[in-house]
Amino acid sequence: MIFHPRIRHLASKGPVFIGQGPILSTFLSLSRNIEGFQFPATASANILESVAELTLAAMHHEDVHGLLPSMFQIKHELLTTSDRDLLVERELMDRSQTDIAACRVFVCAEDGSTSVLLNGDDHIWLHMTAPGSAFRETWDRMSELESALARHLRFAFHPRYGYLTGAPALAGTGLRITFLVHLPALGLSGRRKRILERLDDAGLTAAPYFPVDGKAAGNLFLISNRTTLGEREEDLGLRMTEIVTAISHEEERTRADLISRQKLLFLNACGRAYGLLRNTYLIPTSEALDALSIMKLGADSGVFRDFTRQDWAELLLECQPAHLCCRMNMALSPMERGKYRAERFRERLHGPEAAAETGTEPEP
Amino acid sequence: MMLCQICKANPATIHIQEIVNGETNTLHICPECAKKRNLAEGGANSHFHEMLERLTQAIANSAELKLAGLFEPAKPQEEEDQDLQCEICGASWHAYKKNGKVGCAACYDQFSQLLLEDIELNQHGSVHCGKTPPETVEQWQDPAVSERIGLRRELERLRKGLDESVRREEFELAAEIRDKIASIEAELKSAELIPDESAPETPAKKTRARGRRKNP
Repeated sequence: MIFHPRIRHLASKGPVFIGQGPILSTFLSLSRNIEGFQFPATASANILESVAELTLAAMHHEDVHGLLPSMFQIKHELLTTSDRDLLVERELMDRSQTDIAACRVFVCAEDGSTSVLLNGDDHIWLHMTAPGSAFRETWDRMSELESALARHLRFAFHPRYGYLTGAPALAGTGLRITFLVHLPALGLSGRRKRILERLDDAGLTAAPYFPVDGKAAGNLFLISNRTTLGEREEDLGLRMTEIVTAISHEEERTRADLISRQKLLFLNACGRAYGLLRNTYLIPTSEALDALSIMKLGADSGVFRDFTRQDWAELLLECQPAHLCCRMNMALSPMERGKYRAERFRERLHGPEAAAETGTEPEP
Repeated sequence: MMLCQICKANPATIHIQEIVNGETNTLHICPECAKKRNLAEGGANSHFHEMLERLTQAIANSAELKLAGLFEPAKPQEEEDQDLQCEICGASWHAYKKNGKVGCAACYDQFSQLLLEDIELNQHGSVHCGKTPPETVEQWQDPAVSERIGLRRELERLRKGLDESVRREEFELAAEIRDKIASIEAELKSAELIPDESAPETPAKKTRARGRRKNP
């Protein structure tokens, strides 16, 4: 068995990347440390065990527990590599905090919307995901959970540097806000690089979600804040929402322009992507992601009648390595993954009885 | 955003580092003040000329060592940095420069001078605004939990004592400490934090094992 039953159960939950238009989802993570205990990087296992115990005890208080719907907790060392990869694919765990280390504990709400990592880079790492652009609602939830924990735990706080974190670059609010955006049209128009580079002036950074040879496979980007000191959480979040919305509008304008001026080329690209995924027998991740990117563009523009955002988001998750292994319930070589990925695409796009064929044809 | 150190009004976008006699001075100023300062000092290029002169001299002497010497002033600075260590956790400034991490809350005060410069350069502002902790915090009151935390602290102290007594060859004392450690470890083990679970368990069952579920 390569998957923990609890994690396997999470994989059956719906996807979170189903926002309408270019902004697919919002991720928030908040780092906190408990006063009087060394940060995980230097602390002994003994100290970290105390930290975990204090935090878990606080989490089992009624007021905190109520905010974490049916949460469960697993020692990090009990999670297999595949488990952790799956959690990363579902945005419940940070890629940089997947290593097994002393007294790491993974806590997760059963609906897969909230996760907590104890003794990662910091004592407590709260993480929440929401579909679409949803800073305000997600922050309200996050802030409520943090306040509830702060009633039972004293967090390391400095009047000047704010909440203290293992990495001083995160000190202050300890808050990382990330938007997952899909920007294929801006990429085609050649303006994407310049737009994303300019984010630096606003204290934001953009990074490919699936970096393949320095490029963003699937035209998916993560836009996050670089700064955490000197700005209120709400102000930062609303400023970022404004910027990301502006980029999203620009992407939509470019899409409309592209479609009106080069409709035939656009339909051709959508039809080919659909054809590729529907008829493939072996397909690597990056190729699948690029084809899916065009499928999403088509779905957003109403080219495919029976292919919804939900379908797209599910395929995006299902085509990734750990999700494929979970589906087949065995470790897979890259070749086998390519095979099963293709199988999944064919199955989904042909439909159970090869139905919906007429409905999914691109409109002329 | 950092403010200009001269006019204290505009954002500082120019960062000048001067190395004088091995000491580094950093100046953060806005473009306007940079312009003014250069005019007042009689031309922007005085530093540049100086640098050029030194470089041509070095090349004229055609010794690679001399060229390398141009970069030497940076070295003593680094060695000085290496010496700085947090008194509480032992984390060093050098390690922070390498991996961007400090060891404990006290590091922020211990490395304050150096850290501030880093933070001001990279952050939106230099003073926290936003959420603050509540005035009153109900520190964890469960006697069982605080007892175990006390035990772990004791364990830490004993382990250090064991190393020390072995080093001093006081083997009787070491054996005594070793027995104490074993008994504390056994006690802590019996109150295992999270039971290992290989099969799915209902949350109720799991929390009962931990013995502190308060809501049904």
